[in-house]
Amino acid sequence: MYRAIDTFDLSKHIRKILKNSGFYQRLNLQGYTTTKLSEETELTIEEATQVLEAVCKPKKIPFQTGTKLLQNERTKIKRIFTLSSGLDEILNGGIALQQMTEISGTPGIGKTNLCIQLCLTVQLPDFLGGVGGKAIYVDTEGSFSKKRCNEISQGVIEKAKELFEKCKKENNSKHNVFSIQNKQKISDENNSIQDGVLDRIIPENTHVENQITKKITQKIREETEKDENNTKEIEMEIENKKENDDENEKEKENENEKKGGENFNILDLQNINNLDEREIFINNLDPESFSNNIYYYRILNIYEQLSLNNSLKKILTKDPQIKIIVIDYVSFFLRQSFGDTNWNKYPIVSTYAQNLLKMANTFNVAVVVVNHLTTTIKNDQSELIPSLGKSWSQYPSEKLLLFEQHDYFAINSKKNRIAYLSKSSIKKKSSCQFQVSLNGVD
Amino acid sequence: MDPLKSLNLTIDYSNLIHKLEKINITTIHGIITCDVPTLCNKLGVEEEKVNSLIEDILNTLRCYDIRGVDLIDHSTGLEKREQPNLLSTKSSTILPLSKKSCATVFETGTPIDKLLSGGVRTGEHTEFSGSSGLGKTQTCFCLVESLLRNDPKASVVWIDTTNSFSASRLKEIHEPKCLKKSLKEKDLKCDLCDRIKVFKAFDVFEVYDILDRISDCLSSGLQKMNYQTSFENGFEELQQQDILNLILQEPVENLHLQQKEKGSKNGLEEEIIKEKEDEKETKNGMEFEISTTEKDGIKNENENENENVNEKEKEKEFQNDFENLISTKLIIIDSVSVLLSPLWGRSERFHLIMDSFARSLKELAIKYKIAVLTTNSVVQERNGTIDRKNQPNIQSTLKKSNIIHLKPALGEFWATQPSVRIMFTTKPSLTKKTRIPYACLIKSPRCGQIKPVFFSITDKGVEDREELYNL
Repeated sequence: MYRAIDTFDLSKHIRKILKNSGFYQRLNLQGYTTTKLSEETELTIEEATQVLEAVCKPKKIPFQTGTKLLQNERTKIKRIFTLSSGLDEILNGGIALQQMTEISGTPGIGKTNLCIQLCLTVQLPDFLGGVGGKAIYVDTEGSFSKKRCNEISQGVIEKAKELFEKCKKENNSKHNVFSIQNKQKISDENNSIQDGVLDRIIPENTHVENQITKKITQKIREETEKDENNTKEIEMEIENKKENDDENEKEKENENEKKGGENFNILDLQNINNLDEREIFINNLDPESFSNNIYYYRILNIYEQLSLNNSLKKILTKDPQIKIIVIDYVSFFLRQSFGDTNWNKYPIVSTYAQNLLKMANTFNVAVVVVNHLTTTIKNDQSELIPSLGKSWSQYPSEKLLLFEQHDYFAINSKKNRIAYLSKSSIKKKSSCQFQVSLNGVD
Repeated sequence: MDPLKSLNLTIDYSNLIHKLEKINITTIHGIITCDVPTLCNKLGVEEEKVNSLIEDILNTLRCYDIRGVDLIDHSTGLEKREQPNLLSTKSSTILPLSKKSCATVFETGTPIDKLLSGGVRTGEHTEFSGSSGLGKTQTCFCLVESLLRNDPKASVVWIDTTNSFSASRLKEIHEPKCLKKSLKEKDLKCDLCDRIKVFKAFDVFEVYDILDRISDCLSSGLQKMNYQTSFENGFEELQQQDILNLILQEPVENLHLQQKEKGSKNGLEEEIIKEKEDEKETKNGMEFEISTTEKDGIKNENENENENVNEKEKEKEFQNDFENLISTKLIIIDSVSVLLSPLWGRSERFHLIMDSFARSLKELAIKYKIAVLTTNSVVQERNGTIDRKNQPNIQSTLKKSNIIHLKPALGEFWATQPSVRIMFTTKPSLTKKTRIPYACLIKSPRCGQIKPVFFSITDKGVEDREELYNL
């Protein structure tokens, strides 16, 4: 197949030299050895080996056949359950490993609580249906609190005890979580979602907002014209800051690793095989036994966010037990730091997302990304859609939308919290109700 | 300026080529434009030899013409749907288009076939674009399932960039259909899934390597065929077994450009054995990413002992890969925008890469008679053109700024590359709280249906929604 030299993953400097010496495509390098190549061009021997490896060496790319994948999906690739029966049902068992899942919703609906719960449920061992791994929590808005984490872990411990007792009775190694808890209402045919697809939320008092939206559009137009200069400066700074990856990482590790009581680390439970010992262990669980397995990173600006992304590879190789990465409010800095024009933000967001996908695949990790909603004005009506736009929305392979809805059949006209799965390659779009209580998301 | 070596001519000419190199004639251009008598005097070679060399070169590079009459089925007056199995003549790397070539049509089994005027065609690059969650990947699943079911020898390559492939979904779509044929479930299940190969790639360069691999397998399959067909007498159908027999008789040497150095030899012996792959998968997925330099360090000690074993295993794998990939009929690249968008604005060679990527996809499609399907996402444009379909009123021209126009991503250049494009969008429903997805045709070289097609995604795949056509 014809391939120009420019389509290879080589640095600009090397490609320039090759082109100057008359090598324009792959076939021109046929029959060259490193010594010959470095003699004819100005490349050093190292660079010449790099070139020949990239261009001429036959690469074996691993692929999997459908049958293997089918087996894997049933046995090996697990899903991280959320211990909320409604959510687990619509998510087909939980959050998938090796995929990026996006959770978006109105403020105060329970996204952070759900993320904290995920960081805890990921630690539950195999025989209870969990994955038995550690978690990374990347916090951009400071909404993680140790106290809340303790409260939720109490809830998780109680549920784990129930699971264990069921496990003893059935004498199974793996579980169906749904058989234990009462099934919440799972409605495929919610009144308003029957016709089509719900990828945006329309607030209910629309006629008031129409007048306001006209003023908002004028303001947006004025501000877009102002912010173009800021973006160039910011890009320069980002490139400089990326060289300081290592320093940033060390600082964070020292600051924020949570310390807790290490008497009963939940991950050790996986290694215990004896039923009696397991029972003793489970009865002695404490919120502290979960907290040592969460790596917490507090991020204060866009540079830290990007450099953390770049150093994910190192972090994940150091500790291969990590099974989930939760990024709370991914769009916070990515939206602010570039002004309103998109042309600079777009490639940075794309490389960020691509890197996350790569890490998820190579290290078999689940990536959960929390996104807030933003207003768009379409046809004189304001709607709420997940932020960061269409270019971001192609990266997550599963998306969850959380919102409130009036329950017309209830007496007190209270609002229900509903979770809607708006994108998935396996499961049909469906929704369910959930609640946030003292002990977590249910 | 292609070098002469790239043509892989027969051995008779190797001496002549060596002599030509000494005078500095190494390219095709050089030979064809030279003055034959003076050349022969310099080299001391007969004129006949040089002339026959030039003739051979021109034969391999020749393009065959196709008449329009040959593409039409005389009985129905429509385009020919079936393709006789055709093979090239002596040429190796460059395959001429044979006279009677027509495309096969792969039906997707969904209502989108109406837009595609039958289905996805070989020799063409088709594109599905649309925002996320509307059903692009689901129609690809339906297409794969119907192709593998109808053609028991075909295989499919799926290049997945967002980890959205799921074999259990394929099975879910397939089950109700195989029951109709009253065959054993287990047999068909395995057979269907065996013939789809899933590659995971997160970078354009990785996808390039995959495409290289596929094109090498396919070209070598046709290269080893020293099967001359005569265009006047007709064509004979060759079965896959015959091809394999011919290939396996001769040792499968390096198809890639070979390096005969010690350093490169170590690099070639990578340890990707299928059994060990299974073990390693359960641990981290990291093993796949170990660079060759690290492995070389470990391997140098045991090299001499395991050399023979490794070579045999390599050959086995190569033959396995080869057998698997040779019958590829369809390549699906899920989300080409995920691959190409990180380069936009950051890399000075973005347009070059996009151009050569599109070209290599087309090359594969045309040369080896494969269908190539890519999925794309969308991009918003605020003050764009007026969308006449949704708002045909003149009053809407005054409200230009409120119209958000969705267009496929990757820009105007990429829009020219695929020959068929379909856009998946949504339309507000009656209640105005949800949106109804539909698909419409943006670009096609034949007269497909222009009306949009409404569909819904169900357990069985993508199905028609007839009740919405009247709205």
